[in-house]
Amino acid sequence: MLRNYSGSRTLRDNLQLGSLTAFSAGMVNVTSLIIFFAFTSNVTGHYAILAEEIAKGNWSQVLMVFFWLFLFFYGSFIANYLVINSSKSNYIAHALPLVLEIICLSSVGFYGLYYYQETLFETEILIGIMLLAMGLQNGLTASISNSAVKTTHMTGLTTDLAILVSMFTKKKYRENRQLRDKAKLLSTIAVSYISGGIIAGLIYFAMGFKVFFMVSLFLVFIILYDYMKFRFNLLLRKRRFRGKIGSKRLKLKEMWLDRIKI
Amino acid sequence: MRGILMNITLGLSAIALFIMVTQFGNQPTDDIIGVWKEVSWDYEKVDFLNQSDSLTIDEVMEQTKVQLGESFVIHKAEVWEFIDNSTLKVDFEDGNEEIVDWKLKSKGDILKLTHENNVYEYYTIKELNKDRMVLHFHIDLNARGIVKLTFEKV
Repeated sequence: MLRNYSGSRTLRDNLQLGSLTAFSAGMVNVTSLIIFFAFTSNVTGHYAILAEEIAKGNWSQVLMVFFWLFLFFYGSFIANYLVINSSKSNYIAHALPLVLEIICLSSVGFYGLYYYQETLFETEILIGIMLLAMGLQNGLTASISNSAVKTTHMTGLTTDLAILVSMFTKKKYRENRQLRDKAKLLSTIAVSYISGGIIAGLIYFAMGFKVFFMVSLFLVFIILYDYMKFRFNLLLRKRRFRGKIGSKRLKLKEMWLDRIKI
Repeated sequence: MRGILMNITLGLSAIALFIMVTQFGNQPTDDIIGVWKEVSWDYEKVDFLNQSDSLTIDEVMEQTKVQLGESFVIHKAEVWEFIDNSTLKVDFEDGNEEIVDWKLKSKGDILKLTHENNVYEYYTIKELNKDRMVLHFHIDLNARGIVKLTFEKV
């Protein structure tokens, strides 16, 4: 899921990556909406607000919204920078943005739990950190999947899904496997995003800021899942290899024994 | 090398923006402190107002309360005194008063009021300057307020 890059990715890789990261994005967005009254997994609204504040000449607000947008941009920049500069291991390069995201979200959870006084400055900075985290995630998923997976991009996803559904009214498109796979991926992402949002809402009302630790744990699972899968496959291959070598040695031994007898 | 330079430049830009935000960022908290007199309460998007002209203003308020839920608190000709960063004193028409906790959310455009009995009110601050404050009863982030409260600074 994290290991493969661009063209070498299968539908299964993208489905796993899309569903798991969309789930965490839904969790983050709904939590930020409940606590801070701001969206953090998408920036379309912030662009609109930026334009509105510029038109009003409200420069202090313009500065704040621009800071948020910049953090989202910077998160995506870092994620892709790490991906394209990986020389040793794809897995480490692809896992690093998720590690940074975990640090961001855990910081928000930790601060919210022990220090948050609900001042405006704190709120604005915490929103900024969450936007940075979502930028990291969106940058990573879009980058390694060649833009096939965008987990926080619900406007584009809904549009693409609607286009596909309308195409499926014709038989020739219904029989196109690529289109069917794409529809499967998009609908999985949408369902995961909503599920994440609902679950985060329920967790927040029960546990408050600890919800950010739950999201972080979920991201740790994504990182470890791929690692464990890789180790497991490696172990299987080694055993098979040893099995083949072992049976060859046994045959040779039997042949020599037969010759000695003769 | 160019990539590292770009990374450093963007990182420094983020730090510079952070410093600018801390120094010149919006300070609605400072602007809001003071005494505000409620001068009007306007209704928007309330369909039944157009259908029935015979309703009195109190009946309209009650119907609005039914529509928006019991957490909706009716404010009429009140004086709001924002004492400090978290304390708001509401002086009612009948001479009573209530101390309410207030906080700003999002980018300072959402006003959250917490009453003693844990009833929350949320307003979108549509306008805030030295003389005038306009609040919209907050329904959700994408909808415009149904109720518009206008205050003037005393």
